[in-house]
Amino acid sequence: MTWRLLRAPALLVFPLALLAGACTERLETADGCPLLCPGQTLEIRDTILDPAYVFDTTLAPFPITGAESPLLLVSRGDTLDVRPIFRFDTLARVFTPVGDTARPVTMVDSVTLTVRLIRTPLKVPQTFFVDAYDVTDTSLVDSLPSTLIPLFTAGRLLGSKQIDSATFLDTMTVQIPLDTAMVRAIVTSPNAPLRIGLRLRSTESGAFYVASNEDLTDAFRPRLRYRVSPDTVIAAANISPRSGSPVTPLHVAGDYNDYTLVADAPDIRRATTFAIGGLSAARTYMRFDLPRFLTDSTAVLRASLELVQDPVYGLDEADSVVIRPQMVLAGHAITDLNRAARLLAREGTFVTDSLRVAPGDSGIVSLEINGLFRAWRKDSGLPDIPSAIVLRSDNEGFSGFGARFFGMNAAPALRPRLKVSYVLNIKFGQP
Amino acid sequence: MRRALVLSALVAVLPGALAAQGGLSVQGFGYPTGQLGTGSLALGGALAEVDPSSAINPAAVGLSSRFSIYMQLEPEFRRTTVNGASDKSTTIRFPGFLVTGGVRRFAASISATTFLDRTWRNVYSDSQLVGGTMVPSTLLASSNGAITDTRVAASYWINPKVQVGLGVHALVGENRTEFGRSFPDTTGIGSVTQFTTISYSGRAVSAGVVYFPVKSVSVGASLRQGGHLEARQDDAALAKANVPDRMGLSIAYTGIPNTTLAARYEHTSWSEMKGLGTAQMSVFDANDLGLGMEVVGPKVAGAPSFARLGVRSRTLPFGANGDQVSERAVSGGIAIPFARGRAQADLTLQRATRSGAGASEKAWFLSIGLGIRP
Repeated sequence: MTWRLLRAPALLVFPLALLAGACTERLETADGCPLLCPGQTLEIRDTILDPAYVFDTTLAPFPITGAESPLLLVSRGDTLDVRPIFRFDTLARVFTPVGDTARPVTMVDSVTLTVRLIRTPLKVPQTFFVDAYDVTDTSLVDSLPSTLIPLFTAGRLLGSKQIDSATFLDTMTVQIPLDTAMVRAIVTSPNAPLRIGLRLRSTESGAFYVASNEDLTDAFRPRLRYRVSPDTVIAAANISPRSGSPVTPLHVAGDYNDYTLVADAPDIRRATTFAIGGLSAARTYMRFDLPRFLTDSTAVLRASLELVQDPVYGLDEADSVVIRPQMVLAGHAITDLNRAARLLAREGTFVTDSLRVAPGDSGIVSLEINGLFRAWRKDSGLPDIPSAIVLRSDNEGFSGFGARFFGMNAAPALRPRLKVSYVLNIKFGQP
Repeated sequence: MRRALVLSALVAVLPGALAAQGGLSVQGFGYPTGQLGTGSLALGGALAEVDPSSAINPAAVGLSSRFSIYMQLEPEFRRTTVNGASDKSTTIRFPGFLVTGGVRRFAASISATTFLDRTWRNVYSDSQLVGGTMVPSTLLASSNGAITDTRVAASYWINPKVQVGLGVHALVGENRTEFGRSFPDTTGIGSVTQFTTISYSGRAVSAGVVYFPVKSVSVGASLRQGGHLEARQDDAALAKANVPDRMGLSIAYTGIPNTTLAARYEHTSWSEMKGLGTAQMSVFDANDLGLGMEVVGPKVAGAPSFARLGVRSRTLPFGANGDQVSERAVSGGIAIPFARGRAQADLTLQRATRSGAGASEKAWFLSIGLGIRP
């Protein structure tokens, strides 16, 4: 009887044990601190590195010539003039009628250049013209502005297309009729190339993107089209840009299928400063020589790269440009800094901060780069690379905006400084 | 059953599980559980020197010469109050596992009991001066682990009135700590985190006696002599000190039928651990006084059941903000045999109050002990 009375409480021990074992543990408390939480202070030290780094230089152009996509077509009076160039170094000079043998092209008719225009943030002019010029020059330096710009003459005008803003929405495929006789003369001359430069003409400022030969949509890519026979059964020649030069180095000719020619743009570079953006777009390369204890023996909480901005006037100085720092991944073996400035860690890796400034701004701006200190540790797991970053613009190659800052050779009050807050040693664990 | 025992053994030797810092009881190297069995805890620790389930007096091992296994589970529900603000926290400990057996006049025991439980986690927001600017910050600090007292003890009946024992202790364990500060993303300030492991190794010997001067009185006394105790941080030597010496005395009176009255006093020289901590750590020698009463209840399956009551007053070794912390507790419990007397379940509920440094702490302990004599 007694056992029966006590059996229930005895058996209760086991569910109680299970219940206790399954208790939800409450871990995080705060109210007892800091009175009951000794040893949890963090000694943060501050230091300023002045100058912040040991080397800076401004590099251009970015993107490299021929890598622009889309291309730019801009006319802004005497401030900015940008023209896309298309090379048709391989033309259709032979055709094969149906049921017949191949024969040379002797007739050229209905010649058009088709390009896709895309609007930019700039207002579309009321009326504007897209003029196409024959800018063929077989010299090896025909991509240089000084060589090409003189070729935009009335005598070399192949054709023109007038467009009204009322008919232009966000994008528009434009067929520019070209002078048949001029093109026929080229097509019928053995091995003669045809290189076409476009120019925007208007009484107002205008700017458009032009789909390049690298555009993902085939129908948007530039095309040269001409009929080779009066017989409409025979298909018209439909030719994509293709460059045959330069022959060396290898694989570079393809970059010149189409590219952007900056005919006129403000040069934002100046002595004792470095520049970012503009046209042709510039990047700034900075190399640091940080004290080893800062990268290897401390935890860096804050590393603010303070820059003093030098205003750039004359072109959209009130608009904003976003500048991002990116860590250079190129090793010590790469001594060509233009190339090193293209081998970068992905945007937002190691450094997430960016600057949004207007070209006409002045004063001190600050970039947080503490993540780089961890990447530049000896034991970070990354290969041995220089402690370098590149500052680049988000609108690189698409906009004439640029910003300028005083560099390490400027007066002491103006040159960049690096303000570092770090923890030398966390003394936690031993009560 | 065998598998269940193995699992239980594994669980029992784990250090104390998670708790929260910001508590009075987890200062310094942690909370001293007292190494009491569930039954002794119910009596305020009063019978600990004559309790084979409490890994204190090696002579008491012989009081249970039959092969037996004892294990404990002990959750603590704690509320700490500082300046009117309260924090609740829950700790679950597995503070003891003992195996005991004997032949004729000899008995031996192997045990692993929690010596100091230093497991807590603390997260709070404050502001931190970085580069001349005060910025909001979140601090995280935690410690997980304990120092475990692993003891091998043997006892011998000299005559029916006197039993002596000797114990060899290895104190081992580690605290895995984390400390970090993080800042809001908008500040752009990087966070810092440090993970470190402090491991401990030490040794001690203990000796004890259980004496029955008259039929209704039993006396248990023991001493522990501490040897070196070393702390290493991430395998580098950190500090050296000594395992604290300890002495304790229990007196039990069984002159009243079916009733045991007991008292115990213990003194531990915790200050011998001073060199193991930083100069900021405050450590005090501690006294522990317990009074208890056990009443035999009705027989269950041929074995007696027990009801227990106790009070306890002690000081804790590690101070809060320089002040010594005191603890007072009231406890009660039952012990019920089952499986035809081959097993016994102990259940103890203890209410403890602690105070020191202007803060107070109240805690409920639920201690569940399971003894098996196959």
